Amino acid sequence: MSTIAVAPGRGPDESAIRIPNYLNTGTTLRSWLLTTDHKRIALLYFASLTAFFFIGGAAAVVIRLELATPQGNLIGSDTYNRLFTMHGIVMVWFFLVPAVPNTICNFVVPLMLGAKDLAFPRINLLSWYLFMAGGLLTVASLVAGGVDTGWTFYTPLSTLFANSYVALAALGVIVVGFSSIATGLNFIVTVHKLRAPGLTWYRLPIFIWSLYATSVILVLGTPVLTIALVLLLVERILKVGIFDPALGGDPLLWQHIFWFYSHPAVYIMILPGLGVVTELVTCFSRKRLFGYKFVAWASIGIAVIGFLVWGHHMFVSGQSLFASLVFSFLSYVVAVPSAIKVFNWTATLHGGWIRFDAPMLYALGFIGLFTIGGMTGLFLAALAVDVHVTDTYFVVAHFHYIMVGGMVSAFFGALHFWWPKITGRMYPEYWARTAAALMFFGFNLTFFPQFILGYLGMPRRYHAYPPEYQVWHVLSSGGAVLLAIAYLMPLVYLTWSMFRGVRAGPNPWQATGLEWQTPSPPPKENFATTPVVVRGPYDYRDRAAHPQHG
Amino acid sequence: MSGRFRSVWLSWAALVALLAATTGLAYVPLGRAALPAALAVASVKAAVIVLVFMELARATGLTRIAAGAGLFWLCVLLGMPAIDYLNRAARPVTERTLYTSVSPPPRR
Amino acid sequence: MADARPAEQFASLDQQRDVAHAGMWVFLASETLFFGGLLAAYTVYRIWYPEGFAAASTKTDVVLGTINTAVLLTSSALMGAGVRVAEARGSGRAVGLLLLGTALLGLAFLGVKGTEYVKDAHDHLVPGYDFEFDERLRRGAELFFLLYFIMTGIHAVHLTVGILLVGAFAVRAWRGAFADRLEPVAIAGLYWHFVDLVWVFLYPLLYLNGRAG
Repeated sequence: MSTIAVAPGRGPDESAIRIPNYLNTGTTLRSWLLTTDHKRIALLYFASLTAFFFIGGAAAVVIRLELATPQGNLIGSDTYNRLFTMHGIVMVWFFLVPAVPNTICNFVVPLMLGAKDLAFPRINLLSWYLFMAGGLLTVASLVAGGVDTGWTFYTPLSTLFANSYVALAALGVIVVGFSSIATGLNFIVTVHKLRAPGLTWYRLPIFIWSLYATSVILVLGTPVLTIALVLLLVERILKVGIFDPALGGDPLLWQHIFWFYSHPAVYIMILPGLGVVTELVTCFSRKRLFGYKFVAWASIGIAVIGFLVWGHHMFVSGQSLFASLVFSFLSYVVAVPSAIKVFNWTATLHGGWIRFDAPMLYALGFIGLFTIGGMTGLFLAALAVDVHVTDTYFVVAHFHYIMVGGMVSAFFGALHFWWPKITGRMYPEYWARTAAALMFFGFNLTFFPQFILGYLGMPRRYHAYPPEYQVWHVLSSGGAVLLAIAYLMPLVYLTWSMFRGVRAGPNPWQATGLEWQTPSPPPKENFATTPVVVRGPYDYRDRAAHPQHG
Repeated sequence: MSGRFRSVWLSWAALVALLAATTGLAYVPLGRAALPAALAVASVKAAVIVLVFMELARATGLTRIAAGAGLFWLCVLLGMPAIDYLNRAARPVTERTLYTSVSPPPRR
Repeated sequence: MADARPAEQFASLDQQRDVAHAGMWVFLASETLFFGGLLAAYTVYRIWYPEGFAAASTKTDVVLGTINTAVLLTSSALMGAGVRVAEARGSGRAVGLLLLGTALLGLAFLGVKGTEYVKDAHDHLVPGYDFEFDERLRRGAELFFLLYFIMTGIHAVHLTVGILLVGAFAVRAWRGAFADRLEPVAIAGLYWHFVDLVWVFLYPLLYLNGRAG
């Protein structure tokens, strides 16, 4: 069947035989913009997300430049507010939330399931157009003059006082939310209904379990954000009081319904990363996953318990002490399934035949950074400690360890791992390892000093600060330069490898999983014949222990 | 086939009867029990609609998960903020303080 | 339209029907949480302003509200009957008539609701536009009416979508479009029943609170 379709080539010029694949079947612009092929839609998302990542990143660059000196001498405080708000909005909703689900998952999930496409291919395309529409609205608010409320749109600042383009940005977030819901719905139904014969739940890769948990949050959390933003728009535009204390409302109600979505949204951002790392750790240590069922159900556990902890964002807001205690306790509970995953990865590594290819470097970096991010999360879940570090750089460092150190590492790990499947070409290993190492060091240099800054009392969201903090800010800004270089490197060498990379065979990593049993790049219909699954996932023990590049 | 139609019309009759019951109950001075009573009737109506009209009773798998998850998460969304609001030590402005305030609340 | 082959991503028509059904249920779970945000706001402010909410609730038109509830419940029964005729491979015209009845009752509901809105405006009950109330209860009452308009408004938007959907399906069913492909009717039915379900909870929360005293 599919294994004879592509013989592993040796050089970049061996393109004489044009085997039909999803890339060369139809090359007009129309065939891309109206495609319902999940693989092409994934590439549309890749292109758009890359653009948004660099818009958000550009804002971060200016922020770090400004913070290199204690005086606010590069930009004014108002511009600074607009920059960090735009950085947050773009990075959260236009990069981190869709990062893995809409790009990597869109591409590999039907392949992993042995399906021809997602359950609703047209809804998948629609979700990309909604994403772009939401993105355009948000970029329009940026061009018009920006938003200065922070990405959290706290009331009554956002409804009564902010004289920036709040409504436009909120509308953009509402629209991108519809895209999220469509994506989540599509994945849930696909995982339930489109699995290949023999692919039972406990034979699914953990990546699918993680994505399923992510989708549950997307489908059940996002509508609450939508209605919260609708209420915000009603209050802001019609000048009525829903959250306005002067008219009897409660600003904390906004925080409750906003964080009902936005805390689980953190798990939207990290859960796919946890799935990616599971795939990488097993493949590059040539071992079965330790404690498969625990890791699988831990994903679901995170998705459920993750919805019960949002009040830990509100410990100093005037929330009742009893509620704070409940939320604090539950925040400790949600750390348990996350810890299960870390322990099980470590146990999987134990005694494995470990190879340090670039995806594995990203995965190992992820485990370390995710652990630091998670542990500092426990500090913040403790009521008394949180009072000291609320709204300081400690919080900033904590969530960047999870989202940037964790999720962005996982995104790049996944990108490198599945790059040969997506493009049919290998990336240059040396440069990839260099970028992975640089990303790890640059990241730590950028964000570890921020833990110290926060502990010393430096509040977030200020563009000027007392001079005694300068040394930490300079370290952080210096690290940000390294980080920026590490992010630009893949853009260059991956683009190069699309045209000049060594051709990859169907399975360059000798990995298990259905996606590796079809040619790279896959044909439009994914599989010549529907595969039948007869064994469990991560069946590495019986295989040749020597993975080799095709 | 007629049996399946009978279930539709019987359900309709039950729903209208429950509507009459809940409307009537609203005029009975039940005090604090009024809201639970009204919500109980509404829940029975909802059960009829979901089980018979939406055929959840005959459904399997994902349908039941979706229905159950929707209900569970709705309870979380209503319950967890209620934990906060029922235990607040101070409210910004309450009806009690308003009764005693001299000046009318600010208007825009 | 009478095309008996599944779309390319499916192995069989059964799987396709299953998938469409499942998709609608997952969507409705999402919708539940969408309305849930409004119910959470209602819960919180009712805890804060029990008297204001009760006083405001008695200003709504309970007669029209009750009639409307009955109208919507009846429309759901017609829809349910339509789905059952379709499932039993009954006559397309019967399905078309039942669906037409459903859509017309939906329109009637919107008409009554519009009348209520006009009456509310006349009674100075529109926050942000023209709102007059006993000063001591004003804050709770104003929040109540704000939520009343947002909740019933969003419900009406959903109902309008349902009317367009069911109306279009009525015409197609009458013309025999669903002769051997009936799942769209059942799926439209699920949506319609859900909109009814939302109203079943809005009715006691918005119309019946505080009637006894």
